[in-house]
Amino acid sequence: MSESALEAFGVAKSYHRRRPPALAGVDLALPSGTITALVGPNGAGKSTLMKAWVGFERPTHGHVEVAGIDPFRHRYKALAHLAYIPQAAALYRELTVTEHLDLAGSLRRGFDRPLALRRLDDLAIPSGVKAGTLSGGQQAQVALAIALASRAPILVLDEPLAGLDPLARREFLFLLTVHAREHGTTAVLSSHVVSDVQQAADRLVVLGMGAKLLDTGVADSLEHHRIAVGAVTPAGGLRVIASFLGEAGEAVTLLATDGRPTADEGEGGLGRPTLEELMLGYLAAGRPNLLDRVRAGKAGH
Amino acid sequence: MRTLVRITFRQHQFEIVALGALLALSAVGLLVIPVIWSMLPIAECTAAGSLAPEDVTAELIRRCTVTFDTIRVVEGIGQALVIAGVAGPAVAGVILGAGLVSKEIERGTAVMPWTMGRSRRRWLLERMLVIGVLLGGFSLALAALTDNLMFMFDQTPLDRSLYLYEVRGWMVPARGMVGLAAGVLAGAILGRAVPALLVGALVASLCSMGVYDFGNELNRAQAIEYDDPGGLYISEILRDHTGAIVSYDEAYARISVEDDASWARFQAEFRSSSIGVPGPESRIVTGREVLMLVGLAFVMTTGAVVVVERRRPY
Repeated sequence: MSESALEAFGVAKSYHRRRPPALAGVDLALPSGTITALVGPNGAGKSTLMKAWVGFERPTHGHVEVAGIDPFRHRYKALAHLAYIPQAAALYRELTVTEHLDLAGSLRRGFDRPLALRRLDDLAIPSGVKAGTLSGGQQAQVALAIALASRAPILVLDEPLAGLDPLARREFLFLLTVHAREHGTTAVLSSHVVSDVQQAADRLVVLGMGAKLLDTGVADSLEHHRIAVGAVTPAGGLRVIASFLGEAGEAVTLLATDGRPTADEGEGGLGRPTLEELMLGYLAAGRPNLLDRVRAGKAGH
Repeated sequence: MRTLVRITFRQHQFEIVALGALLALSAVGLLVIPVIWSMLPIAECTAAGSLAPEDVTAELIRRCTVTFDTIRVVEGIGQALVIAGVAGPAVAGVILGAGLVSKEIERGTAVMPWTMGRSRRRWLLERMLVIGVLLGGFSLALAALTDNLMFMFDQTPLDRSLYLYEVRGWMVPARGMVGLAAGVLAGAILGRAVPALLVGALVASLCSMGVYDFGNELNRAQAIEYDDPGGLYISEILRDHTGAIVSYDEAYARISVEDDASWARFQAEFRSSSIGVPGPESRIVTGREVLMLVGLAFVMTTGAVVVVERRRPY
């Protein structure tokens, strides 16, 4: 496998001529063995990019690679390296969980059925019942168990947590993380709620309006950003990324450091951002936001 | 393969059981009718027409009335069953075929098999094979029973009879395969089960009608004079006593038919002959139409494979 498990080279995708592109020239390389959170608002292009890796959406320009393989030229070679879970766990409602494992076993060479059964057993998901009778969380877990048991070195998970209750989300991410760390699996999971994936990700990619806004390690990015409430005059070594609305409606500013020691919380009103604030800051930088409009309105009066 | 058969069956359990039950019902009907037919005193009642009035008893009249009433009912049911036997496999093929891909796309389940590394072509063809074998088995059984019924009415050995050949033998499963392929192709293109069902039915009907019309043209092209009971009638001609072909106008100009005597002279002078395909040609006639249907099914299946290879699973 190449250094990067999943790559995108200037990927653009337009569905309609008159509408903005879903992806506008995205370059991305996700290193092997990492868990990447691909975050951004609805319509940011997350699903389109993931579907390009799976070979479902051919880029209008540029190309993608899975373990160095172009999935549109060598579909089955590329698919042999990955497992994919779509937004809604696509299970056959009339088949039992066991039959899903049978089906997966007949479709995937080397499918690790005992592993899938163990995962499902850990979660007390009955294997004899029809998938249609399982809860959304259980269906997602079945889909994950199948993906993990496929022994794919790369997992592409498109909003796998959407519609799951908080406990189910946590369990899903826990199993994913444990498996990925044990087996050195590369995983990329998308979400428009960054706190969903914070638990698992060691890498963060923010997409907005079809463009890559941020691509960095989670620990690194938290280390090199600061957050400030209210008006901020950037001191030396700090650069304003953008201001956005805080939870209480206050103006919050995201700043990037240049690597030199920077004042922390309590010193000069700066604090370390959460992953969500980091994402919000970069999203705000990528488009005119409510705060800018409110400020512009006030200045006008 | 066993897993695939089991899972394909489970996925389409309702359609397979429902259509299987209907086809089985038709089969039972086709099986029972010849038995009822054989129990009727048809020969006795036919002979009764030439009995002297004093020999015709009230009991005979009663029995023959019941017999002829029963014959009318049995023939009516038989014709309905023959039509069901012919259309049934084609309709079943369209219903099963239309859902084979479109349901997976509609429900989003195609994502799983299409991302697990197995080729989409193999995925589709294996599932079509499972359904095709089931459908083919049912269709052949129905065709055999229909043949049996036809023989009961026609009494001509089937390999030398073209009597209603369109609804017998290999033509029945061949139409089922056309229905299946048309349904699968429509489902693969449209990705929606109900529209696929309607379009598939339309395409299958057009294919069947096209083959019927083209087959008719070929039959006309090879039509000759024949006089065996199993021949396929297309037209007729008149020959005079020298063997020359004459038109009806010419014949009536030569002998004006005005009474029984002139009619007898006309019949003595002219002999009408059937024009069509002789019964012993039945294998050729049936074989080429079966080949046309199978060819169309193959083309549509290839089209479905191409579409499935290229389309999105949603």
